[in-house]
Amino acid sequence: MVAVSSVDLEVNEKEIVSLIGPNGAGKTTLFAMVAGFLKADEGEINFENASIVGMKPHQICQRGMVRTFQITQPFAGLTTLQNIMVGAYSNTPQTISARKKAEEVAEVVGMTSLLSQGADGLTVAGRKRLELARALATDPKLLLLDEVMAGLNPAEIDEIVKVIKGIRDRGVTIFLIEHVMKAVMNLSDRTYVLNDGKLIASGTPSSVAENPQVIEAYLGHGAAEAMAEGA
Amino acid sequence: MSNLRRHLAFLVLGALGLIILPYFISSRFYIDVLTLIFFTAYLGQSWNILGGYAGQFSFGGVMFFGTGAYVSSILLTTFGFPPIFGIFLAILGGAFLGLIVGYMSFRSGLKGSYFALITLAFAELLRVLANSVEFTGGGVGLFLTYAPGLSNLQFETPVGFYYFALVLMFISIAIVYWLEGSRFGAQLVAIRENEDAAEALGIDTLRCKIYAIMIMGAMGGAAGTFYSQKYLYLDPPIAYSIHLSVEMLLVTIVGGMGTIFGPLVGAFVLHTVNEVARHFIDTPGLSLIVYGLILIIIIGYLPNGLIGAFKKKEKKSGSNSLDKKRSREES
Repeated sequence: MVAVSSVDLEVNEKEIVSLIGPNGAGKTTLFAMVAGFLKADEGEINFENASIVGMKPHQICQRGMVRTFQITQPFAGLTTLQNIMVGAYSNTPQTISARKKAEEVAEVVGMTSLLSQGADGLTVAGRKRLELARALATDPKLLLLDEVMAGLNPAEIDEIVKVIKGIRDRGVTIFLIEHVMKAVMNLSDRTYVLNDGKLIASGTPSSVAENPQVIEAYLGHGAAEAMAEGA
Repeated sequence: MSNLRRHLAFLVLGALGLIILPYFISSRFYIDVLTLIFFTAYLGQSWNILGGYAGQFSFGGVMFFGTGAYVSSILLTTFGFPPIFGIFLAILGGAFLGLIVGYMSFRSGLKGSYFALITLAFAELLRVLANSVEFTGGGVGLFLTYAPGLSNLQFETPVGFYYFALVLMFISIAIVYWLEGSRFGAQLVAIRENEDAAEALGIDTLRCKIYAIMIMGAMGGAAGTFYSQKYLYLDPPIAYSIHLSVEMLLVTIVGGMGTIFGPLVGAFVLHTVNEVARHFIDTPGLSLIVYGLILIIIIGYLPNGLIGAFKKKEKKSGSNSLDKKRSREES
């Protein structure tokens, strides 16, 4: 069984690109391969015109590509500040500058008031933000966000959409997996659709949303026709 | 800042207390017990770095101790190499063994109980090896001569060894104190808390774990020299005794893993309990049962060790100055 096969996609500098698709389509697997957590059997992965195939996650992170986890992976026994500092330490051995960087990042993602709180006491929204903050603290060029909005309420989603836009405006390229369509529409410059491990569509979010193949992938065979008739 | 100063003052006072303590104790017995407490606390601290901070539980910590002991003792008996230099080669030997064991086990992704078991296997392997080769003295063991003097790291009075052990313990506390405020320490803790996340955030987890076990190995090596110069005899069952492997993790778990003073507190409490039980209970073996019961109670009811329990109580009572201090140190 192959989770992802023959996927060909690219993300340009300073873009926000999204990857959508039904559950089990292989989105997270694709991310894991790109970030070095899984090894692809074949194919090329290039980052800034250099191959990163076979590199370990920490090496890829040091080159400027960092991922977050769909199932949040906080350092549960540490405070929010300490969590973010771990990310910040990737660029500085100095505790003082790591702390300063962490506080800056906390400001960007709106976690300043939670800095001294233990990560195990954070809400779902807090944990999602923490994932984002830690990754951001490594000063990435490319940020891979895996469903940072899942489980959030609409108000929290609006906030994090704003945060992500702010991050892009600071010059960070963003590639995100998302199920929340409103956010995908709102954020993405381009969208790829993955189904059964294969890319079935790509383009602007609105063009993709009207693509019959995409509708069928989500709603089942014949759904596109039914919707067209209904409309 | 005043908190930090108070903390520092407290530390200096404690250290001074331990330094002048021998002038108030005339009993050789108590000096020996205290020496043993420092020695165990020191070994516990070495275990704490890999186990408490990096979260990699080893069950064969004694292998570094035994190897260090053999390195300096063989150098001394065969070549007349003075232990005051031999201890540095014992440290190197322990670190090198740590490199080998760490590379082999972490490289292949061993963690949790698998890592614990592989370290146990390494220690046992070394014990059997030490038994079967000639240059270790085999099963007969190595006898060292008693010739007090700094170059031999031997002393005329038990108080000399007391200070030797005390210095080792101070050094171990300094190492962990540094760890708490450093990037390396934060990286080890990140690995303990979540290895995947640590790796994703740019931490070379393999390298960090190998460094941690090398530090543990170096510390164990020095302990080996201390032991062989104090007790003047070494054979494979002593050098690679499972009992010592267990003791170093026990004092740390009882005192509090991943804390600066956990191993010292644990060593102090366990040795005291042990001695008191032995003193008041005449029936042979019964003191061990009492010791075991107290151990069960501590581990069962205080999963974070004595220091963890103390911190929780501080937090509950609203005075969280200690926690603030700790978070400042840790960050």
